[in-house]
Amino acid sequence: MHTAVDLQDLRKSFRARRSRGAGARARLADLVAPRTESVTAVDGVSLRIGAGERVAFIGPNGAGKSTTLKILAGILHPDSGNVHVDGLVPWRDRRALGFRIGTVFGQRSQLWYQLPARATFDLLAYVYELSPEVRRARLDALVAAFGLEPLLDRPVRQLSLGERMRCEVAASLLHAPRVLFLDEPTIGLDVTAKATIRELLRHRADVDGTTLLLTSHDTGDIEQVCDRVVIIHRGRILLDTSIDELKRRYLRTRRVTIVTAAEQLDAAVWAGVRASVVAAVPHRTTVEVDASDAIVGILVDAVTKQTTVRDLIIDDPPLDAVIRDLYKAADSPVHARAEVPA
Amino acid sequence: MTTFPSRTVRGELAKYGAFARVGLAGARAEPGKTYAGIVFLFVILGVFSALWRAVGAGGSSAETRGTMVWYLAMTEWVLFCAPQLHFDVEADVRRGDVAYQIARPVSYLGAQLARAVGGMALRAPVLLAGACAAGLLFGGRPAHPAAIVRVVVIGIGAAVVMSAWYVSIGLLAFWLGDIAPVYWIWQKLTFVFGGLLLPLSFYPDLVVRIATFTPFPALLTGPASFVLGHPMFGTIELFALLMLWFTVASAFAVMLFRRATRTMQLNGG
Repeated sequence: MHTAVDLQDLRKSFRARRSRGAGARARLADLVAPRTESVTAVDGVSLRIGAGERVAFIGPNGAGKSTTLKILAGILHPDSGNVHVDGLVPWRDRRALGFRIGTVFGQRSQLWYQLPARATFDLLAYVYELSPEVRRARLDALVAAFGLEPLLDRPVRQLSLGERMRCEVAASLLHAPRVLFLDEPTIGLDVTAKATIRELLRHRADVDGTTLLLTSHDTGDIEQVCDRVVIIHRGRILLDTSIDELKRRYLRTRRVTIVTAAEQLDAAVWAGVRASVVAAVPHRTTVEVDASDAIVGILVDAVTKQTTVRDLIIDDPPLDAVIRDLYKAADSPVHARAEVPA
Repeated sequence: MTTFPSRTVRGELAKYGAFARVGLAGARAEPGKTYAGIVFLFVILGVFSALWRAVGAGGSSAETRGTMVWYLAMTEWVLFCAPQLHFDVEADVRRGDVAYQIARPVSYLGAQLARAVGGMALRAPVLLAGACAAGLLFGGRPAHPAAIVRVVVIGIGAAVVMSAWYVSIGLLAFWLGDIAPVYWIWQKLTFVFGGLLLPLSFYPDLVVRIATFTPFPALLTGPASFVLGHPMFGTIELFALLMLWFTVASAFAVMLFRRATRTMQLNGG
């Protein structure tokens, strides 16, 4: 598989000002002779992403996600390390790279606020030097896929956030970039708009074979758009695995809701499988059990001995709980080595 | 389907042409600033005309008053033609949008300037009509009507040069955060060394001598003094001066931008 993104031992630190204190004297001293300290943002990240992969690049605030993304987009220089995006060194070949990458930043807009979205599409077609035929074909395809026809000629300021984001993503895909960097693409959207954007991203990436590298704090983006997850913490890669593997390996508990003929179940049922009751209403009990496959079967057997099981619902814990546990484990020096693979 | 074109003059011109069209469309979508400029022109020329009338009681002729009103109409016209790019650049810097835009195969500075020129394509004729109407109302017929054509041609060039300086002022936001104080100083220097209200020839020698080392005379009093009948610079000389100051302003903007993007690389945007 062709490599779309290749990072080798990437390092980046910043100089940050360090205040001497709050007093007038300290402030004056800070102004005259500022003290700085080095803050490491990225600390030896190595990563290879194949063409067409959809990768979630996640981590807590300050983990180094955005810095890495900015280096990949050619905006920042690394201190050291080798970086190639579609075969180009981003900060050296920034202009050439510009033709091959697209960016969607959920908190930024590339659309001209007072003009219709069509004006931005026309402008971007010139920026990316698309021939009129290619421009027409791409725009037609994106307008159809993203349902933009009724939005194209309305001033951007009149669009809802969800409509604007559909236009933003379509604008980023106009030049058919080989790699698309997305930073919080669904931030602030309602559930329907989020689902639409995720579906569109996944679909267009499939159609065009675009490599996606997405950062988000919303695990829905990660689960519904990506196949692979890279977790970065304190500038280092904590975990690099598939979404399915992440759930399978790090899922510690499951929630099982049992609908029974009996109003209530004998507490002894739960003791045998070390299940703890989370919620109970007549005929319906929700328990939390160990995530191993066998436990649910044992639990059902035990309940069946008491009453008829009418329905059974098994929920995985939300992905953010899994990720939260991983962050916690990484922050704990005692557990970090034992539980979190480097 | 992705194309990776090589840099061609035609392709580059088409890009900046597209930015100019966006600037024009933006000016059409938000005409309020242009109309406000016309209202301001009428107010300032009315007040100025009344002032000269008061001075006239002490000896100044009606012809002088009329010429001075036309002079002010032209300096104000040049000033209003140049869009307030510094505020746009400042906003881009503050929001971090510059980082977002430099990842595209287009020059951020070139795009800003092209957008300004596009906006001028609408603002310049509309404001000129307003300035001429106000000039006729408060100053009567111009003493040298043919000179207006020269003012217009050179004045548009001056507005472009002024826009290039505005880009530099906006870029200072990388270091200062708020560029309002710098713009305030620039504005005052424009008033004095540019001869906004009165031709520079009315000022003391020392001020004129200092002004010649600055871009301001070429930006305002240079073009507007054609209406006086005794221009401060010849047309060719003024054109050359504007080219010189455009080169200086552009080089300064490029230097600031390069430095700023290096700082951004150090500070993480």
